[in-house]
Amino acid sequence: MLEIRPILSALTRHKSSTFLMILQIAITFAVVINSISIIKQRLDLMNRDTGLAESEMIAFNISPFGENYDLEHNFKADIELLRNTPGVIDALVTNMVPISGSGSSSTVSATEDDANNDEDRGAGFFRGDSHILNTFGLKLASGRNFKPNEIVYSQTFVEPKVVMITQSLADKLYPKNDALGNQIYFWGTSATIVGIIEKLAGPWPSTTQFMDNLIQPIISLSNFNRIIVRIEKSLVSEMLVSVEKTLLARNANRVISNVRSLDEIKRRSYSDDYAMTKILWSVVILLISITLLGIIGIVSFNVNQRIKQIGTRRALGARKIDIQRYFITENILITSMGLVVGTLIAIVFSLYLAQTFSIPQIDWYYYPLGTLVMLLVGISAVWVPAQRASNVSPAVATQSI
Amino acid sequence: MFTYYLKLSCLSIKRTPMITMLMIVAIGMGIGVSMTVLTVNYLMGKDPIPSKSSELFHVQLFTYGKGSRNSRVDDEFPYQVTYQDAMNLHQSNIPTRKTRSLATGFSIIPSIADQPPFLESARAIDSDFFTMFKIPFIYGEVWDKSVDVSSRNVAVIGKELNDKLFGGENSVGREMNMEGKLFTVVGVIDDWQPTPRFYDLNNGSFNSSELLFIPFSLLPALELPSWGNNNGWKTEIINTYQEKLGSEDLWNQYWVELNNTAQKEEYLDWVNGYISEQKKLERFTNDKAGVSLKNVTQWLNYNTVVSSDNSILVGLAFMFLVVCMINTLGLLLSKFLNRAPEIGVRRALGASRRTIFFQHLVDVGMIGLAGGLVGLGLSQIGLMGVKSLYSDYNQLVQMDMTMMIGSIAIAITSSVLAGMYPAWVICKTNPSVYLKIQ
Repeated sequence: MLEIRPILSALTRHKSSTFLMILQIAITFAVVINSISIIKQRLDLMNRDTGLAESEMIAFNISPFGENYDLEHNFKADIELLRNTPGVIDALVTNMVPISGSGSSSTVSATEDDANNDEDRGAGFFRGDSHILNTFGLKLASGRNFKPNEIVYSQTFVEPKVVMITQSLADKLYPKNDALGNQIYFWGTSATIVGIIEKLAGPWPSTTQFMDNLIQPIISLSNFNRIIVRIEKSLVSEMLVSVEKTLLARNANRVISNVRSLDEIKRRSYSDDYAMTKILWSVVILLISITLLGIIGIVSFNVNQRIKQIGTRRALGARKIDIQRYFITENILITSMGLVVGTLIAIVFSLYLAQTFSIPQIDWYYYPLGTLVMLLVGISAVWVPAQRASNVSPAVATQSI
Repeated sequence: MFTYYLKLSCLSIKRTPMITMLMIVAIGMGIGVSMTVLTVNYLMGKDPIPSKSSELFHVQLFTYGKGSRNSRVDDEFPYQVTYQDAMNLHQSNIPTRKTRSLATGFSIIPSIADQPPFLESARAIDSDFFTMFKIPFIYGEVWDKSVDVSSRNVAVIGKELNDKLFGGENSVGREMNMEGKLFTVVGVIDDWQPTPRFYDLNNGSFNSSELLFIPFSLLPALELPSWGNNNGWKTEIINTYQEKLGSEDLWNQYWVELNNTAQKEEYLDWVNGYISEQKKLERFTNDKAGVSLKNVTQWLNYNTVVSSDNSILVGLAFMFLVVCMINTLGLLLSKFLNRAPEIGVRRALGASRRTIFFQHLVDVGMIGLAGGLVGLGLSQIGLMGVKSLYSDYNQLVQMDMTMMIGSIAIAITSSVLAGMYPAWVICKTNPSVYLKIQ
């Protein structure tokens, strides 16, 4: 028998503690589901498909010094040395590392119009030879890779005649799906799109142009370069240690620096988001613990206040399980009231976050899931005090203090 | 009376250890979390150079042609200036001090045989840089002003670099091999890490400061590359360093020191005059052409140094504290009401309501103090955690005295606030109710 009415009338005599429990549950609920929503968004952000063989890639810089350093000769020799190392799948001299936060970009357009207009897009400008597909682990959606005779080694500015672009960029610039074979305009010049890559992430994960990239068939002979090596996953840590020695052994007139795996580069680039998820998790866990302890405390107090009442009921024939059920039901009632208020607070909070910080609102399913969790928390909190209550002896009814 | 209250509080704590412990833990956690978040927020937003932050100005010029703009900021000004503009701005004698600035770097080849060459970030600036930003020297001094015009291969190095290359000795007069060129050390500065690194926010707000400073005038001679950002809005062929120096590329920074409003107005007039001249030369063709001076505080806000994540965390921390306080309130209510019979006796013996009220507040204050101390300890652990999560913020995460005293103050204040209602409830109960045999 659900004794809702007696429970409710009993609660009105303990207004303050009831009110406090409702408030606690409400605020905890609102904070917890908003935090978990943000955590999920950040995790989704960090786990986006970049089109790269992330766990197999290493990047580093070669900074030559001294006169008489032949960049072209040395690049070719270094790349060959790297490609012949056991376990290495491919290697490449390029100008920027994906996800690293550092690189070059320019505006591109599908039409020749001079003035800046809405159709212009920013795109990351990669440089490399035909090995870029294999070194990054990219897939061609359509078209072809660069041909050997299209690659240019140059110290000075070169206008590429052909380029490859990503599908994301193609979709934005060429709504009629006619990117392949078409011209793309940048720097006052244009190039033919010979290949479209399914996915390639650029250097800046927090920008809308993250997946909009273009590859030029150019190896810049400059001191600012990035070498990317793709090697079997199990050999990555070994190569991180050995690559500097190997390359310096061949030619010592340079500094090999910033040797990092792409996984580590990614962790660094996302360190703010990663940190946010960790901190939010701590807040969620601590908050639920505090609320749990708080409910235990308040319910224990309530039980103590009502020892005479419980004893009387037992003396009149209530079984232990009736007492238990009473308190559990009372707790569920309070928790539900708290959750109703909590849902309102959560919605308001979510709207505020969306407006002030452009954080997407909570998906609908968080509310029922959160409710379930809070109900479980409430019931586990009340369990032990309810047990204690049921153990009150009926003899208490006739005792005088 | 106060000592009597304290005695009573201690006795009551001994009698209800569990509930008191729960309260201390709750307050401790609340303070721990809030203070960790608040400390990081406070340190991130702190003025890095309070004695001069309103007198140091970053200069921005709207050099774009028609149709270009910096879409990342409301006023659309570019973050940096061109080389020509930096050189031309430097002609004005109105600012008390002024400096051009470029983030660059070198491979350093140590003279000790065992040490391999290494890369070192450097900054090309003018001699005023050190006085402007109040950088302390431990050996030597900055190069002479004449070097800012006719360059020489001299350098000022930081303490850490001095330790690495010269074992920490007075290295003034010694030479360094930077990519095959010999530089003479003229001064060594002490550890200097402004937080945030306000003078150049282009590549991160909390990066370490450089340990190597050379004259900006060396740019053409050494063809120093930028290790920072380069923005080119104009389609230009840039194949040689000379072409880059003459281009519209935005890759330098410019800071001035203006000590009063009159000087600032005078300077603005001068710069606007310069802009009009440049317009006649077909530069600054955009309608928005102009100058913007931002002092350190304005510059930090403009670059949103304190991230929105941080603000969200502050809000969450506050809510966490509120929940902890509600928790405490509930527990206090139970604890006080449990002792109602004893209070009844005391009231019957003549204790006034006010006495009871204050005694309970002392109770609460003690618990608040204990909770605050626990919270302070927890926040140190929290800050260590933050340090490990954000590799950038290493220099940030130390609590200073203000924050520590603040933690205890917040703990005691919020506990007392939470405790007011229970204390009031208990002091207004009718003593006779509890004196009756139940």
